[in-house]
Amino acid sequence: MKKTECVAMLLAGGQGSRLGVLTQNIAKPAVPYGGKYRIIDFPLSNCTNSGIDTVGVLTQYQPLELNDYIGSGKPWDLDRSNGGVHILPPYQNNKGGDWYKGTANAIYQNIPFIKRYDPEYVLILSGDHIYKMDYSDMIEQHKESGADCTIAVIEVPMEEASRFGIMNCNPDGSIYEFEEKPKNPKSNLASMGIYVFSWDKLKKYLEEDEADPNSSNDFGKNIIPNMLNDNQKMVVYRFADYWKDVGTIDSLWEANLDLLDPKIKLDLSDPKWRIYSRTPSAPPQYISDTAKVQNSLITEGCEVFGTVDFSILFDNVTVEEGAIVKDSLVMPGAVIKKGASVQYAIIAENVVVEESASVGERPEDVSDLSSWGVSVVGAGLTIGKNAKVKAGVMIKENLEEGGKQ
Amino acid sequence: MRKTNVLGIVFPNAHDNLMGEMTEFRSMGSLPFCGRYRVIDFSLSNLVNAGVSKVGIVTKNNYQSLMDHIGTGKAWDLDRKSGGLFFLPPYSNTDAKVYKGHVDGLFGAMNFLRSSSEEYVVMCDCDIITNFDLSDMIDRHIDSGADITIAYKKGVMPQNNHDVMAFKLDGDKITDIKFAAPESADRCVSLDITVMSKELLIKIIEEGFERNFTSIARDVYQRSLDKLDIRGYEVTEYAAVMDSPETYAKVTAEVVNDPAVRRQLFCKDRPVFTKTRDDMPTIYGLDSEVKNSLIADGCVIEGTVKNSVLFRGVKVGKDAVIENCIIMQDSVIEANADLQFVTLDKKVRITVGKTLRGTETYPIYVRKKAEV
Repeated sequence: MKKTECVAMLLAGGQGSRLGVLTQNIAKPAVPYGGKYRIIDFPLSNCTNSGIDTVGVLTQYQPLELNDYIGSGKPWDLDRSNGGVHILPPYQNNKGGDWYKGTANAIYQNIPFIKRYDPEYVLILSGDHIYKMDYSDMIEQHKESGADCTIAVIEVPMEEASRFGIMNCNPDGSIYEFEEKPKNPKSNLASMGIYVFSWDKLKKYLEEDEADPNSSNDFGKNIIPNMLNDNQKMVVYRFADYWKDVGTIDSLWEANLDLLDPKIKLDLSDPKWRIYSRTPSAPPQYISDTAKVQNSLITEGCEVFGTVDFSILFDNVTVEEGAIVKDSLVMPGAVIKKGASVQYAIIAENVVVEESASVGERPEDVSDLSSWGVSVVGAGLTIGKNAKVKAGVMIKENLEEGGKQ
Repeated sequence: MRKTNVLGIVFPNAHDNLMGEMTEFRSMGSLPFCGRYRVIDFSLSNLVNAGVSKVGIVTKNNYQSLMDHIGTGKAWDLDRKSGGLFFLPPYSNTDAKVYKGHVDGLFGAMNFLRSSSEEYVVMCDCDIITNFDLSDMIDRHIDSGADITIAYKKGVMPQNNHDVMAFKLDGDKITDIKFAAPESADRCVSLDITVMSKELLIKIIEEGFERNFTSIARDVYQRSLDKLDIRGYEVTEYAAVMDSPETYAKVTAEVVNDPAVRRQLFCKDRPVFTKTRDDMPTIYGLDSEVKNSLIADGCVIEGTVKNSVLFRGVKVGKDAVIENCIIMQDSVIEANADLQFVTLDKKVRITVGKTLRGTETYPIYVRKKAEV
């Protein structure tokens, strides 16, 4: 095997349980985003745009759709004869086998994969965030600083810092302390879960961590603190562009609608940094005479006869005449029938919202604002004729005609 | 199942000369169509959807844009170890020259034909917009024992009446072939999609070359009706022949205006494949107004678009009005411009406040990369 300078390992095994019904049958990185993407398109496209063409994708939870989506890696130019994208599920060996116990254990179990490429550096990524980042710049800094580990950080508002893993560092960027969700944060530099390790160091710490029966085999809880305790050179890499976790219904909804905000710096149309995706062959979108479309993102295969306002329609969505879609995400293949209304909602793939049904409510129309939230309908479900889904409800089963939830 | 016994041959330059400026720097096959396609996508997709996985493209001239579009054939799953895509340009063998018709064109591709193991050949011109079950046609040809089967469309078609080949049929059997027959409801127009055995095709070309034939339709089919069993296969789905810029505009309008045409051209069982560009979805701005239009991805619309087609990456500025237009990819229409019955080729820029008006029967065409 030809030597490869940097191998990327993408942790894609998480369930993303806070996304509820949206990740019932698919892993979180496979969740649709932005009209024609899935979350994993961001780290994969970042890799290929950064010149990293060896990527291991660690899967565990509901991998079918993700495996199918990644396939040979063609859409990201990652179908390579040397390197390319590889799906790495847990496996059995002659001593038995195990599920991935934690993020560090997942990488540990795939040391043989990394060894095949004999890299200098290993880049650890997750499939949980929407961002465009040039990893080659981070690796360059890692090399120049002579660090053993470089951790990408982003400034978050101080009042939110206690939700993140916070890096406390010296003026030169070297980290002296890591605090996971501190009550009284000393800094607002949050870890983005993106690490560059020098491979010999990472291998050593993975092996030591595996030998420790009390470890939870996690990067944030074990590997990073252990390296800090041993005075390894740990440096932050500052990132200042758009970066958003899409781990909850609200943040997923927001991160999607951020694409409609011209003030927000997330340009997916930059030809120099394309976000690639696997897209079905669908004809151009058709906007009819009866349609009213404003301030929205619509993609191929959609047919719009109704009203679409401040929303994102994914591929092959139909909005029939008199139907209203506002402040919502409608995922691939969904049909919003005549006179139905979808407001402040996430409609998952292939859902049918029957005639005159309504899903979600505007915050202005709810008496008790504390109970308001985005409504969600799980993939493949039907919302019956005249049925009504209130604000903040998550629909997991078909709702019959006239039903209320 | 793939049809491993059938070879596809595509002629991307067929009737190039009819399209005027639109094909000045490109072949008929690479003419952009309907927002995100090139005309050749329909022929290639028909072949691939029928299970044909070995396709030769007999190019003539102006084929740089075509090669760029097709590449290795990835988008059509034609990047294969076994079979796949073969470019058959002129000058590919020592005594070759630029061909005039299909007979001498195929003579240059003789080595490809002879060395292929497939028993049957499907030949397609690239000026036909249709999506039908070609595998059924191939099966019917084989079952019927006919020598040659040619697809046809019955009735009035959007076209400018160049010398189309029309059939007289007795059942399925073609009894007479006429060129430039007047338009009528029962005229059967050839779609230039032909199935025959490879053996027969080789024989026709060898004999035709000796006799200095060029057109396979005039010199072979028309003259051989008494010797060969030539049958028609009726395509009931939408079909149109691109034979003039006016027809191009007319066919485009039919796709925009008629949902039945769209359903037939873009049916889910037989997707039309094309090279993807990874544009982001189209952005509809706050004051945009879009009615009865087909829009590809990557557009940014801030003005008004009616009865039009926007290809990928088109920008429509504030208060610009576009009606009954075809705007090819990456063209920019700046604020307050007003366009009616205009076809903009790729990367055209219409600057602030300009007005361009064609008519339904005479749309204005603006060439590639022009600035108005």
